[in-house]
Amino acid sequence: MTIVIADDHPFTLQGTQSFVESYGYQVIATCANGVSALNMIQLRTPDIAILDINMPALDGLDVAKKVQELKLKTKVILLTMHNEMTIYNKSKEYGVYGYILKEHAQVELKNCLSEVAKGNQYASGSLLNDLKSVRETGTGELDKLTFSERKIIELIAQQKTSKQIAEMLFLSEKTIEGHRSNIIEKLGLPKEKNILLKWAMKNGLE
Amino acid sequence: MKNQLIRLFTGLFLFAFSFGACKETSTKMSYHKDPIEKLDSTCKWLSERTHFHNEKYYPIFRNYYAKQLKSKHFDKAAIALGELTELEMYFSFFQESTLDTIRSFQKHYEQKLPWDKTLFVESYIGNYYVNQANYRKAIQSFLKLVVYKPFDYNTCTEVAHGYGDLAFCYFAMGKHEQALRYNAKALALFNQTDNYTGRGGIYDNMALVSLYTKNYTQAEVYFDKAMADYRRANDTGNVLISLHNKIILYQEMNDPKQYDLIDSTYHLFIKSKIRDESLEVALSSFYVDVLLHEGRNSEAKAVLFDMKQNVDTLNSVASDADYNIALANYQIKAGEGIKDIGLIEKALHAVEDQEDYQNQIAFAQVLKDNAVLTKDYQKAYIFSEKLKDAENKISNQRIITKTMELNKLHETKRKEQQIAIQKETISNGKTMIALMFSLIMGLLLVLFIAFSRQRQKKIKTENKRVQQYTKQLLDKTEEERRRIASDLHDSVSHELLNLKHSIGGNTAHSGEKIDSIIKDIRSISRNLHPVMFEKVGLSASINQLLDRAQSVNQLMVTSDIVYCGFLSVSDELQVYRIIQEALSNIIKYAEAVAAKIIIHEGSDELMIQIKDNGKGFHVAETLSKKDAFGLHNIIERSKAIGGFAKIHSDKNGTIITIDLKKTT
Repeated sequence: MTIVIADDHPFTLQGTQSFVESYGYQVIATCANGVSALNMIQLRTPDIAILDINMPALDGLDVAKKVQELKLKTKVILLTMHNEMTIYNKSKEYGVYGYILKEHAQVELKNCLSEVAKGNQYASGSLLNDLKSVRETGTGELDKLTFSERKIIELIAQQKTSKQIAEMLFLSEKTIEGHRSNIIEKLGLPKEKNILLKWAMKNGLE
Repeated sequence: MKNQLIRLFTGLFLFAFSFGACKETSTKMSYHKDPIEKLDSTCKWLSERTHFHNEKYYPIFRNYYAKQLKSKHFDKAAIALGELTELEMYFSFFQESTLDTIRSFQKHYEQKLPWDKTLFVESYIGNYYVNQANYRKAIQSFLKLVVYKPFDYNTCTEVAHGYGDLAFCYFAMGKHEQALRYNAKALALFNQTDNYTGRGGIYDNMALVSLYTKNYTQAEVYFDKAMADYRRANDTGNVLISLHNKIILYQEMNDPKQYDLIDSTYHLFIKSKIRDESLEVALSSFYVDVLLHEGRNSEAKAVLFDMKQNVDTLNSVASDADYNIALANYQIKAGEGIKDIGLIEKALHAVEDQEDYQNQIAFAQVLKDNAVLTKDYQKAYIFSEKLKDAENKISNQRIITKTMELNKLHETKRKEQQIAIQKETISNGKTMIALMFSLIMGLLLVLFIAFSRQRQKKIKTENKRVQQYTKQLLDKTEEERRRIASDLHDSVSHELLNLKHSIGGNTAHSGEKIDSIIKDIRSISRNLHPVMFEKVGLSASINQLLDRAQSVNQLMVTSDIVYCGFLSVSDELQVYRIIQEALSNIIKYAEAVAAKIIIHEGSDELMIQIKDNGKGFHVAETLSKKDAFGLHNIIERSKAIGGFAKIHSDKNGTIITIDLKKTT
């Protein structure tokens, strides 16, 4: 299993290399910027490339994109400080296998490498937690619902009709109806009249 | 050419003196002769024409006149003198003694009487000099007469005669222009009276003017008018005078009718038994011509003999001239030659001095004929020169008259032209003024337009500059924020991470602490600048923003984004900031249930809309507040990217729309 590591912070680079080698992987090259990383990947086609995102010249995402374009067999893992869903989403577009945050590298890198080596994708747990963590945690049932769905059930509790809800949320009535059936399904409610209203009243969402 | 013209006016004073009241009867004819004359018996006797040749006429007059002066009845004396002078004038029988009496009266008594009672004075003096062919002196007298403004029949007639006499004097001097002018004045005055004799005289005179300006048809018309007037007044004497003048016309026209007319007129005169020596002389001289023309020399000699007696009594230059010329003609015709050449030559000099060209011609003619007869060719030459001279003078006068007429016509035409030119100038001027005015207005308009264009351009550039400045400012701010965010995130966070690693995993508490710091820094950095905006793109960044708003602020925000990347990254960033600002406002103030972000990129335009269903606010009021930074921020950023922000808000919510025209 050959690995190339790229990071413009020498300390981090060194740290990552020692971690990776301690897990028994062979680090065939380390690079301080994106351009040399891409060159090395093209030259050596390692099994895995661990890339920082913020690097001079080419950043980690650019390199990942190039790898995808060049259809190289190297699997890219992004090791970054960016705890951002937007960037994570972007990286998925470029066929990145792993996305881990540097602050949790000690914990996650080993798992990530082994998962990616198997050909699986790996995303940092704390990344996915980022949005969830700020969510209000109410009844367990409600956690199953999205923000929009919860908003809708709140309005249902206020005895609003689908049409009224649609107007209030700048959505179409059809979208509201769709959300309604999704909610019923998620909550495992029986298909009867005004079941959502009844459920909302019962759960004190009023 | 005959020279009997002097006789013309002798008959004009026929009814001149009649001391009747004046009555106005009609508009056309104002003054009538009062038929009832309140004269005393002596005056009445003196006024009778038939008594004039009575031997006692003068003694009676002198007696009466002296008596009245003695008893200081000046008015009666004046009447008597007036009657006497009238008859003398009528018969052209001017006496030096009468002239003395007149002068004495003028000197001593004239002032004692009103002016209208003494008009005969100047009239007589004038006519006396006319009779002497001294027209200059005569004119002086007549001019004194015509200054008066007539107010009754008598004065009207007197002044009219004065004008007529003036006209005659000028006519005799060849000044036809003045003659016509004064004739017209006289005619106007006579037309106000029923004095047909007077009017006839004026027509006579006008006929003569026409005659000597060679307008023969007009002359004949006037003569006929004159004779009609005379006949109306039953005045055979003046009819004869008019006939006499008509003879002259025929002579001028070289019309053979003249001989018959002379013959009939002469015999009419003899038959009428009118005692008028001057007329007799004049007609006789014509008759002599006829007789000589027909070769009846002996008869001519007899007529001449009769003439001589009358001429002697008459004391008239004109009559003398008539006689002398007739005699000379006879003597030439009879082959005798002029016996008393000195007399005629003297007469010629006299008329030359007095500018009496008519007689000058007559005298020169006979003298020339005589010289030819006596074969004195040198003299013939001299006299023919003189003849030519006189004829020239007359025709000069004619030319002058003609010239004056032409000049008048020319003047009129010139004046008309001048007026036309003036009108044209005025209208040209008006057009010019109008043109100038519109030109100036146009110029002002152009200047104004140019000025306002310049101004607008200036304002536009100014606005553009301000906009550019705003844009630069905003971009710089973003750049700064991006740098700070990056520094915080990349450097500080890494340092913290290294710190965490160096402490090692043994102190979990400090590790967590460091993680929390990293998280805070991340949050600060994210707020300063959307993470990797260039890479992530506008749509994803906005959706990220919405997700955060939903999760953190519990605001339901949906989006409808159709964006194909028309804007530059820096402009996209401004759009992101606008939406960020709008969302921030909604979260802070709107109390909205939901909000929606719409971005629509069409082929020509880009539309960005942020709407909420919050409580709304008063737009104008809020914008005027000092702390409305958020809204102004949206407006200014919109301008900076070349768009225009519209903010609408009411109790149902707020809609912010930014329209951006695609112009590249």
